[in-house]
Amino acid sequence: MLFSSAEFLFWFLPLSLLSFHFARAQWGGQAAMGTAVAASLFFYGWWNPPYLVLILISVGINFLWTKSLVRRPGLAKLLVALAFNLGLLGYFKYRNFFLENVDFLVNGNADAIGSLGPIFIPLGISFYTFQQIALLIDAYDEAVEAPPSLLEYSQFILFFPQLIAGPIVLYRELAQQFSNLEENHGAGLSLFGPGVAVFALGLFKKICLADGIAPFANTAFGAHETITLLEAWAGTSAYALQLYFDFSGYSDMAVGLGLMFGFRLPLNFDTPYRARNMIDFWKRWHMTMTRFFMMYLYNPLALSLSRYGLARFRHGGVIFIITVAVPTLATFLLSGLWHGAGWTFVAFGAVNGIGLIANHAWKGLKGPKMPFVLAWSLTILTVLVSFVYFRADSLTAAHNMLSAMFSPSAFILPNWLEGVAHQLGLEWRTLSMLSTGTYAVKCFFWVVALAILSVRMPNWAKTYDDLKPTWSLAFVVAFMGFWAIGWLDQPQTFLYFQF
Amino acid sequence: MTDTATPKTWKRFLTRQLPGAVLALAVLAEALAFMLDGVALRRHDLDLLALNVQRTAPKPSPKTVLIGDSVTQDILKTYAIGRPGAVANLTTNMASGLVGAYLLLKRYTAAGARPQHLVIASTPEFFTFHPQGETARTYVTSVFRDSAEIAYLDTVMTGPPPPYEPAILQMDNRVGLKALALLAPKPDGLLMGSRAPDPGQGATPGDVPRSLQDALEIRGRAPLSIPATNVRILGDICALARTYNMTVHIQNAPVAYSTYRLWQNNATLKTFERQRADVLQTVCADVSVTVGADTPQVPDGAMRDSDHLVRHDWTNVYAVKLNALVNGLP
Repeated sequence: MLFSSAEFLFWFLPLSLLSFHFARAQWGGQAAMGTAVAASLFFYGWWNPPYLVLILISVGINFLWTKSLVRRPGLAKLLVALAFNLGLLGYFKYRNFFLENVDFLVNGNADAIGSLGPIFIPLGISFYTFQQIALLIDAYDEAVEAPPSLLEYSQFILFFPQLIAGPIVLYRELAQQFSNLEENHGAGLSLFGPGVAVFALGLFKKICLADGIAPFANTAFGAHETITLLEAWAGTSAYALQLYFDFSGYSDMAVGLGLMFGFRLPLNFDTPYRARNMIDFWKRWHMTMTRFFMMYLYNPLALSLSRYGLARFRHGGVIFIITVAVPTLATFLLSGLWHGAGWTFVAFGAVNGIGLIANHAWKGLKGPKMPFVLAWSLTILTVLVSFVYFRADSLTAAHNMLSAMFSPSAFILPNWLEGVAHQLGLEWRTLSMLSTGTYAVKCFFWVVALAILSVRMPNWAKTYDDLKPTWSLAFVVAFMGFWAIGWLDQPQTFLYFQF
Repeated sequence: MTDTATPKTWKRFLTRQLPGAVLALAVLAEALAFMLDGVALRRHDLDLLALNVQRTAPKPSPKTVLIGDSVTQDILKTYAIGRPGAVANLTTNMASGLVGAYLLLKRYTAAGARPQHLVIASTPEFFTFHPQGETARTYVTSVFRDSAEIAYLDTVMTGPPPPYEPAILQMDNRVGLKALALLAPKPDGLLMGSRAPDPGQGATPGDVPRSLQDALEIRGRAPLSIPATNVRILGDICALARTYNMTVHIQNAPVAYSTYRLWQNNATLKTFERQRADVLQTVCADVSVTVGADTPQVPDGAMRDSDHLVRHDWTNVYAVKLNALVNGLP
């Protein structure tokens, strides 16, 4: 059940909201949370009921471990709990990838997968596993004041707005809100209005913008073997915009839904295409994932390596490599792998890691401040290159795209510009993507319009406290809602669901 | 929260302002859709063609009218086929199917054109494909909106008709695209190319990437069978030919070697051609019909995808063939 599906919008959401707020008003916060958990289990089971068993086992075991760690922290307990969670994630998400690569190294081919058969990744496993790992580590670090009740824990992990694709919430962000609700002085319906506005914006971004531009990206990446320079740039730009509006749209919907239930979920996107360097970009893109990796991987790793490096080396370059480059690259390679079990995702992480290392090195060397246009262009270029790996089906496909983007010999004009090609002495042919002038104009319009929107569109998921309930807001929300509902009949899966 | 945004003002927003805006926008959209109801859409070549065949019935009428799908449309839009003024281009694409071609031809003849020859130059799939769902909505039912056409489409289109939707939920089709159509220039004519086919020009095949190989193979393995609806439509095309004394000529468009080989191995093409001959014998009994003996074959590298030629050295090959066919008609 997608957020952008008719069954969610017209049945599930109204019924779950009604039952939650009715239970809250009649029987109090705990009853309301009970209905929210029940609704979330129904929501999750809608896709594949057997995976309910897996998520319930995961939640049950992690709840007991968390409780135990809060009461009596112990490294052994934490390590066993982490091994369980990473083992579960590894088995369901990375088993085939691992065996394929072992087979390739041992036998020179990757046929093991054939005998194993396909394995289906339980929806949202990366997200709910990470939330539980974060809480386990926080409990071990004694950063959790009181152990959550089973109801609170279930609500924290299973709450459907954030269950499938984040944002990756920390328990400390919700603990107080849970207490308030249980003590019957939660937000109630006071956030409902802003929630509707934020949700409508997210729905509009997903259905009208992301799905609207998707065909251009799909055509380009589908034709990577014959793609030309113009098509490769158009297709990659289209994909970067599709990914942004798809995932930020989803995140807005999650935040909006949270508000409708009276919960404030963390912001996940802060207009990332405005970033003028890679450090800035990762502070704005998929912020809760970046925060997770920073808090629970990069910081401990960097701290350990800093202690090691500073004690043994004097050379600035070596210290930079040990204290910054290694933890950054390790973190981004793993975050790439977290996105998907494939070498393309590792390459995606590597490109971003290298970009960040270059950014840190420039800062460390006190390089001159770049003009905005140059800094922004370099940032977006790095992001685009990494997104080619993110989207491509294989490394070969990614390299085909990149070689077309950066090879002057791939500058071939479409057949409808044959006259111009003859005048300029350039090659031309019937192109796969820009096959007609009309299609090319449409593609250009979509890319330019969405590029402008990606940096100019207001970020209500961040500023909902400042929204003013005016007639103009009502018209904007109604317009976006109508437009999105009008296009509902072609729903697509959210890109981030696969992770 | 700011002073002005209190729970009370949000309550007013949810209970009055938002429903008020919803209602106002819905009413506005209905009014705009009503005002633009008669405006013909201009989304693709077929919209243009459907508009222009009615507006520009040439005098004297071209001797030959050509229908077919996009592989032939690519030629007609680029090359001057036949002697000047002798050919009318009513080629479309596969998405609009035989039904779209028939309704175009009907509009063309209803506007006063009196061609002597009807050439159907197309892929075999043009005879086997019948548009449905969103394809049918985009390329057939939203293009042909005269009452007689709607009545005809009710009898040949499969699947349930789309349910009524308020204009606010179809803003793109009922308002946006129609408003754009009002602004767009209105070129006359039937999209005829100007380049002369060159029998002396050579052609060299390009690379055959894996995706093209796969596409050619998929096409070669797909069944080719004329559905009952298209048998009926073919009969209606022949009835039109009979009414206006047209002779019918059918020519298969060029096919890649790989696809052709698979068709031969599986007897797909032979079975299809036999079925088409049987159908023509039944529904076009009293019309003069000739079928081109050969299916031109081209190297795989001559194709852009499974059924389109890649560039002008290869489209020229097909243009030369079509030109000879048209010029050879009495």
